[in-house]
Amino acid sequence: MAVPVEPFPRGGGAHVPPRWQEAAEAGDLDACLRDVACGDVGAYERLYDELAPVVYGISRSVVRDPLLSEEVTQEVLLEVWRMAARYDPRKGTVQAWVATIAHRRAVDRVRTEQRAAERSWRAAPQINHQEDVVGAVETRLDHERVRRCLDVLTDLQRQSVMLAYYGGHTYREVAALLGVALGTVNTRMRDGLIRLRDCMGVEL
Amino acid sequence: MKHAPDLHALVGAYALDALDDAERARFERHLGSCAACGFELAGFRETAARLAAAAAEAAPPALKSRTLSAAQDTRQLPPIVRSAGSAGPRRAARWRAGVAAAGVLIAGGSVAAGLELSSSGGSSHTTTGDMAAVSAVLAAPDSHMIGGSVSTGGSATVIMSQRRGSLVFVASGLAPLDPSECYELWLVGQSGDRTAAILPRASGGVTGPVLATHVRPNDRLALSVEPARGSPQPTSAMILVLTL
Repeated sequence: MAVPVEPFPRGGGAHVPPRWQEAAEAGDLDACLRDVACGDVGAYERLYDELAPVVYGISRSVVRDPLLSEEVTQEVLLEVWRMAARYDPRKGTVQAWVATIAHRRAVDRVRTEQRAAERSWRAAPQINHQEDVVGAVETRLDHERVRRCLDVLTDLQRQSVMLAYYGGHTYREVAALLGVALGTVNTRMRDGLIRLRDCMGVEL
Repeated sequence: MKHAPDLHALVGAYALDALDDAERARFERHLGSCAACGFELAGFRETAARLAAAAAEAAPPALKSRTLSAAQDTRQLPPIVRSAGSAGPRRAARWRAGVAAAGVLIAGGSVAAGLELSSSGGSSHTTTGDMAAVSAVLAAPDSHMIGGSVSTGGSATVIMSQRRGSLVFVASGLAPLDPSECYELWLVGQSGDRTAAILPRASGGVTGPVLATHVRPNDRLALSVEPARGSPQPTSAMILVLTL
């Protein structure tokens, strides 16, 4: 059952928080999260408004099913509420912290579902539509800079990064999808991330 | 140790959550002792966050009230509290991120303690002025990270800014030395070996951060064990050589 992967609905309402990547905002979110850690519900609401689109977007991208994506989004944002006091700014920005939790949760969810499905053999392995995954995500990428930076990668680097990140595939699955050796995929993922990092001007 | 290069190559796949459970656990154990991986991972996570942002999509409106009300019913975890006196002052976010990412995992306090030592005339190598210079190197737009293993044990991470001609050196797990010895850092260039710094004693298994300035193009960084007060020229074999 090779499910065609349609472009994600943009629905007119989709938006990227416009200042998400600006340094000024990192400080704002930092302060906001500190208030959340003290149980400030108003701060949590602001944080929700800022982060929910990103968490939902990554969940949709990886999980696909809208209801499951909603569940994952809620779990992740509750985790942020619960763990706010444990956020350590020395380890990275609030955005990276939340995106890490969200992606991990989304990926774990699909892998659990996948194992269950494979046990009852209902679903065919989700392969053979890698072009669709990459294509679907490319058409909905909102951010000019990210799009431009992805263009800097070689095809193999871009496909490896996108299939893993947006598709939620393991590197073994990516290797199978692309028909290349495991070691090659590992290297391409790392090289691809290095190029993206440099292109995006990530500073540490 | 045998698997280290192998594991380091997985840092990209780990950052993308592309490892299976067993590999993930194995990599996380490795991460605890790999300063270079920690630094690289921090950069990859910021990168991945931008990939996430680019795919943002408005969440269904009803989710908001559900989540906010669920939060009201969810107890928050308390912060992890360190022992008295170890909490340091907050510093600029990027500096903190840089230092922590370098795998130094300096509890806010160990740097603060170093500062106190040096300002009260203690033996700590890093001075207050150095700390500003350290953060300048970490924040330099051209700074990049180099990592390596020390042949007698431990791993070293260098953050190098060519533009500033300066580097920050940190190490973890260096073999303890006799009080009559010290670790000395060298810049190895065409005109011979120049002493760059004498490393302070490790604190909590972490040595540094130590600043080295006047780095010239094509210099390499090297480490050797020398008599306690340092030596003008290396007197023993290099236990680490890094191309900068």
